[in-house]
Amino acid sequence: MKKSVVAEWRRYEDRYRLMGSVCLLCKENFFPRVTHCVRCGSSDVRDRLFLREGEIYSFSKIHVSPEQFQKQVPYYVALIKLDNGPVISSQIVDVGSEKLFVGMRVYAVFRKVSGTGEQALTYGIKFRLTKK
Amino acid sequence: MKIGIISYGAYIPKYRVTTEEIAGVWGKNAEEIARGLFVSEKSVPGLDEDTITIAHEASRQALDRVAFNPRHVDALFVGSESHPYAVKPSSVTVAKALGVGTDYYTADLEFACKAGSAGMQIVSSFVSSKKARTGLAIGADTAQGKPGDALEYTAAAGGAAFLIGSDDYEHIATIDDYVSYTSDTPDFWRSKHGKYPHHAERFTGKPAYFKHIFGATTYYLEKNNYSPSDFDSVIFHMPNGKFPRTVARALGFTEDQLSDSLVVDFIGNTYSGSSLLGLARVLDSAKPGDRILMTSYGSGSGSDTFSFTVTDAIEKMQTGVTVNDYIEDKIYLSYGEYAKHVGTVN
Repeated sequence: MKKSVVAEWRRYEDRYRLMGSVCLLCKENFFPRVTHCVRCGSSDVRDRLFLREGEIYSFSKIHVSPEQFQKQVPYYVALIKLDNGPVISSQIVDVGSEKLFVGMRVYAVFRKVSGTGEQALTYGIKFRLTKK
Repeated sequence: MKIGIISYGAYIPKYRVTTEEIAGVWGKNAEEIARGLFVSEKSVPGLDEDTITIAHEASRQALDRVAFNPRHVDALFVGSESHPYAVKPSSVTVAKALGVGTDYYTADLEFACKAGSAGMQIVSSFVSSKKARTGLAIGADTAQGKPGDALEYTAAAGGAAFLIGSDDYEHIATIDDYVSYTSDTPDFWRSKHGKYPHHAERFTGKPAYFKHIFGATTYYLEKNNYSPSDFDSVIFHMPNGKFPRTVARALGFTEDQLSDSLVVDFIGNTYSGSSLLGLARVLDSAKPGDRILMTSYGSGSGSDTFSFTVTDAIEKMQTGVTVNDYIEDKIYLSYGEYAKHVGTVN
């Protein structure tokens, strides 16, 4: 599927830096950013930069992937509870012999997401296991 | 006005391939090669890593070490010979992901293996001329070596970033002075659309690496009335482990002065990241008052020499991730996996 470079560009702030939203009325956090609170409907939402650390909420090892990630199989995808933010989904990279478990500490890194050959490259946040 | 290093960061990808693994594929004697190059394994980028992601990780660390507000970065230069795009700067993506804002001076630099130190000169000059109060100078590479070529044993991935600033900021090391020594020397090149570099084999030694490192270093020592014994540590560009040891001896430096810088022995040649990673490893264990000399080398050819004086503030800095932490954190790849990582097979 051909991706729009403009659509990607609109999400740089979210994808590059973990910028989300917080509802000033009900205090709910969102990622990616929203224009209205999905929980209470308020339009009183502000940008919020989430911390780059969190823990694994759940995870899965992917053996059969979408075409663009086939070179990376097997790889881990996880739900991650950010320390001051919501649960988000992301890839866990650079996993060697470590065994993943729920509650494991992770931190955000900046990695290439897609783009080969003549395509524009896209980048974004992924997560890496925190060394003890 | 004094200028100096406010902070620094380094990054080495986790993946390694051994000299033995590569030599086995090409029917070569691994022991002989490792002994000749002083390199028994090299770092390899992850499947989703490139110069931009390495530059970002090193810079992020440099900022985080001193809780530096990225909006106060006034200049950012990325030196590399493996920028992901031929046209579209790496530096803007690094800056955007760091949160630098929009009011900063920037460009991508290329001068073979010395583009990182060229960035340090440019940022230092911006700060000296008061056009910027601070700036990030970054050297990062995912170096290419043609399968079966001698370069395949050493061409590695990694980088380092230095946050340089005016004396409005606390320095961990002052930048005392810097010089360059440059000539038109065809020792190593990659054509406009070429995937791998070519080199002039033994010509890369005496008239290239040794002449320029020797030229820049002796010019610097004479200009500032220094002698090799005035320095506690020295860093020379590391295309392999043999060249920096040879040039250090020839210039009158001891193995003790050189040893902390020799990241090449563990990860190979990270090109634009090489001398900067050496400097980062020296700073990891430097003491207040230490004097450090660094001379880079970039094929084509040129060398930049700097000297630094470490301040008391270094002790506050030596708490985070070290270059040695990255060196020791590794996953070994087979040759087939390595080929996938560097794009030889897709």
